[in-house]
Amino acid sequence: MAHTLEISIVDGKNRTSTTTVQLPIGFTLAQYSAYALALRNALLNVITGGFRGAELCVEVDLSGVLQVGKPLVASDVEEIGEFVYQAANGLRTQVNIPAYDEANTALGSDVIDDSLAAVIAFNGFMVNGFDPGTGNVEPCDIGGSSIAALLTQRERFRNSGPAN
Amino acid sequence: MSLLAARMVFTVLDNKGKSSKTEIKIPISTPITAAIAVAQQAATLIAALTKGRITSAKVCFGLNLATSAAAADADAQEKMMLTFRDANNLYGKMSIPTLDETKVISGSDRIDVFDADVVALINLLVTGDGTIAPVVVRGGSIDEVTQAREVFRTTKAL
Repeated sequence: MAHTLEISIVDGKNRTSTTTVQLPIGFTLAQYSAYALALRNALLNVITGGFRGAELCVEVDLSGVLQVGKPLVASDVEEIGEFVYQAANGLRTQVNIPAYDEANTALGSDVIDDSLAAVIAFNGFMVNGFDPGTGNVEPCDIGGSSIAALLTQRERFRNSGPAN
Repeated sequence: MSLLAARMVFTVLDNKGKSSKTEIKIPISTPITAAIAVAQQAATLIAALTKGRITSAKVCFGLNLATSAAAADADAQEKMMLTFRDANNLYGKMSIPTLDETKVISGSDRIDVFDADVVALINLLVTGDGTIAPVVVRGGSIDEVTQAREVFRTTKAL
């Protein structure tokens, strides 16, 4: 296993392209950031593009966590469970769950049934967070403001283009 | 990309073979091992709400590094292609957009591996920065760069 350092480079036509390098696991974010800075500086000496940003992406091992197998019949990523939350800063943030299971929708409506255990558990995680044993981690919005409350939850449909 | 929140990204596959991603953000200060555990927990909760299958999950941390501007003639289609080898002869590669053509040996498509800037880059890839040294995808340390050349790859039209 390795982590992926993704570096975004912009060209003179404002097109962005990425280059990646694999890094060994087991270091801190500060150490990965120091390596990324050194690589950024070395790259800028051999390219004519500009540096737009970098992300360290960590693969999550789902074996032992989730069952493997085929998607259920009639599952479709265009069918979405849309959960809208309010962060502590008052701004809205949204999570869209693809291939949403209609069994979790109230009959005769597009409202997600908030009496179901799976829905309660997901919203509980989003609002209250989860403690992996090292301190509670609360989901947040793009600005880092903790999610404070659920605003709306409903079933929606979004076009994703034709299937293969 | 946010510098204030890390992105937990989950890929969901449906029965028609289409994939879609969903994201949940957590504070950027979350340690990597904790973020992995939180993503595993989130994956189980999402799985209970979807008829699709979660095929992969990752957590991406934005790194706070200064941006810079591109030269007017920089082109993402022009790339430096580096090929690596680890101790077990497993290969990896790195494709670097907007290659500076002055790093190419005249009359060829080979990168000048004696150019000081190219030497510095290769050293950083092979020996690292003193703390971290890159690996090939299966995790073996890079032993050497076996090939360095200029290539062109089509990108989407503007």
